[in-house]
Amino acid sequence: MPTVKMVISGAVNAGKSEFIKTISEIEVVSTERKATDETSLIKKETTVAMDFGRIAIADDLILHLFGTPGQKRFDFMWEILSEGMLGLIIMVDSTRPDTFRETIRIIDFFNSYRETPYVVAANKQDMENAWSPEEIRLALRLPKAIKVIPCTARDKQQVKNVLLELLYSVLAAAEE
Amino acid sequence: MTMNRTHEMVSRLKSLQASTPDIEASAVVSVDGLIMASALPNDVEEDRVSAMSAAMLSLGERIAIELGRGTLDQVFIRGEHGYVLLMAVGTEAVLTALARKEAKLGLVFLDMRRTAAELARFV
Repeated sequence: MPTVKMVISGAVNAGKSEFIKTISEIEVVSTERKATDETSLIKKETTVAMDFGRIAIADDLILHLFGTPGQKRFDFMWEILSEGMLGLIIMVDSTRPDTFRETIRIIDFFNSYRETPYVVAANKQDMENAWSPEEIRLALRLPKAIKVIPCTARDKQQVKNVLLELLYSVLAAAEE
Repeated sequence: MTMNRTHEMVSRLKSLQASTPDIEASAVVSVDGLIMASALPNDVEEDRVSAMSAAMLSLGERIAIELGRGTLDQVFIRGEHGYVLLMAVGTEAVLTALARKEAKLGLVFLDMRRTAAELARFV
């Protein structure tokens, strides 16, 4: 059965680990460790190497999901994990505009490393102060062709929807 | 972290390197990849070594458990020009050491373990 490698990246606390935990059919390989930097102000633990999860989409396609750490000091993991990926999901915490600049930097990092189809997942849309996907598109200065998909990483259906949208983008890019 | 603790840790690292000259450099890093104390050469980028040590240790711990090998004791990397050795310091830090390729590993491990036990008091 064909397997496809997808990478989930984004700034600290965007919801990358939760996204993978929500959808994975196997127990997620996670590497969360106690946070001691400024991350500890927003959460207790942070990913230091990677998350790995797996899900079968339809009967004939398996997705391998690799989540990255969010902090810049782990950018060597961004590079390692992006080896052989077919698609990229950039997670954004829609309630934290102060992380948008870092998100742009992360997108640039991946784009400069290699051109891979990507979508932006506007996470935490269930929160009152969440920016809308359109506002986030403007703030991140995303080209029209890049999809910004609203989601809540806790919700399986919405996570699946993000993955499907990414698959469509990957297929469309392959046809070009 | 107080300067005093950092100072204590650095002095432990220096005495590790003094008693085992095969160890060329060493550092103590938090499990989330931040430097706590180091005795590294100037050309080594502290921040990257710290983050890599944390990532490597976490993967080592995970794979040891996943494959039924129990609690991780050490991570051992051998390259053409020598070794990178990692050991947990308590539950919240990592001791990373670089050793030259002629190193007597038995001795290196012994000294690293002693140092890790001492360092655990300061973490």
